[in-house]
Amino acid sequence: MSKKVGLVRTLGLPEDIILNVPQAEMTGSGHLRLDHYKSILEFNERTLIVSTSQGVWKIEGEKIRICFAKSGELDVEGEFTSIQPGRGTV
Amino acid sequence: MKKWTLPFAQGKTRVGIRGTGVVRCMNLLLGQGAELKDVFRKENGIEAWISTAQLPTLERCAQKSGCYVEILKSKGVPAWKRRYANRWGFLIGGLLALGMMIFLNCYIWRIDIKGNKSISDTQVLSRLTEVDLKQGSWKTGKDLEAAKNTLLLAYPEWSWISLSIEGSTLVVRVEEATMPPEIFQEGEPADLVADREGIIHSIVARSGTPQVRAGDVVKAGDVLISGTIVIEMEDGSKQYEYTQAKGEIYAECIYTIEREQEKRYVEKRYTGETVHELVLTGEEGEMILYRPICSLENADMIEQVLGQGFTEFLAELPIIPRRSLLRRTYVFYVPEEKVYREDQLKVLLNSELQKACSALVKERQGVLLEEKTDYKDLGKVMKGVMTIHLIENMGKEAPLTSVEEENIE
Repeated sequence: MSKKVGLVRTLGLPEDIILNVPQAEMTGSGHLRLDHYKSILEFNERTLIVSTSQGVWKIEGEKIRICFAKSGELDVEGEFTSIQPGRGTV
Repeated sequence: MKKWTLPFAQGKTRVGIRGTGVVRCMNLLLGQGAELKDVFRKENGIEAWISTAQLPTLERCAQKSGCYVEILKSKGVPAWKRRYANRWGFLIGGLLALGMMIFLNCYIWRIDIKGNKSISDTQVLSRLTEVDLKQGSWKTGKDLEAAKNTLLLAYPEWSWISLSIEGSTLVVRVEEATMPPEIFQEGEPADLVADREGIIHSIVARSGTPQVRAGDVVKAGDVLISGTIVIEMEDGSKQYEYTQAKGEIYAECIYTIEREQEKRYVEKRYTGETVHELVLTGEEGEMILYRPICSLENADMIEQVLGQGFTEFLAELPIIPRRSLLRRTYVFYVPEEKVYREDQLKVLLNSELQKACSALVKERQGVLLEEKTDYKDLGKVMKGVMTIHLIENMGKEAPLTSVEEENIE
């Protein structure tokens, strides 16, 4: 654990804002909201790969579509089969 | 409201981004603060909704990433502006409609009447017409206060009235006054005499001396209730007082009604052939727009108003006189002479006599006691004679008769 992380945790500050770590929120099995991503690496009906400060997130499924996208905020829908966070690097 | 009005004002466009670097293009675009909605992956690219204002940014990003942009659909104000910018007719039509709406709003189209109990709406409307307040009248510059005062002075049965114009509706609120009871005026002394022949059924004298009893046969002019009241004094002398004779007298009266029916009649055998005629009618008469070139003898006419709803709407406008477009259909027939059978004649005559009988009962406000019908064959025609026994109110006022004036001093 780095010093910066330790300080943030000691002071009780929100980690996702200070450290810009990705934050995912899932509703059911078909809706995913991902904050603090860096860029989209791949996007098609079956795969969505995004890079974050903590590695690459890979989302797999069927009929994947991006409902809303803006810098640092992504709203995705589809029939997800797997979500793999923080694997590998950009 | 801001949630949808602002995006609508800014407009949005459905774009297709094609090429090999679509993901890069998307990242560049998002990096420049653009927002994408409803993003789908399609063959050789993506499709997404983007704000119309951000299209130039998208063009630049696409150029950088080696893609091209295709505009699929546009919505919102910019798209409308692009589509209708040169359509002056649309704008003029809209302005005309607006002008028409404002112009028509200057008239009174509806009158709402509240609070009237003994006076009907029609009467109130008629009274309002006297102060130039009616449907279709110009509402601007109307002195409602003066109209109110005029009505209050003219009609004392209204204790209070309020007139107000709400939009194109004139609201009339009325408070009716309690009228003083009618003062009973004692009339001149008079007798009540029979106005026709009949048999007295019942008699109730309210004032005066009854002269007949139930079962008596009276002729027209016979005194039924006398206005002379005889008072016998203790000393055997008589005194006379005179009053207006009043009472309810019911008598059985006999009426005879006769009707004739010709034995021969013409039956119409329709041929199925029809022709039409178009006519424009108005207050000044009618104008024939189209008339068929053939004789219209031996044809029945059926009249039909065309576009009635539209005509009524136009008639509401004060600037257009009332006119109707009529279509007259002439149905041709061949006349055939026939003769009624006896039973048919009786049925026809009976129907006519029954109608006349009902009308008589209604007119005399009586109660039907008995009716009898006889038929007579008069050669070319058959005659029906109906004898009706009615119980009805009898009596009319007449000057006093046979007044003994011996004790009048």
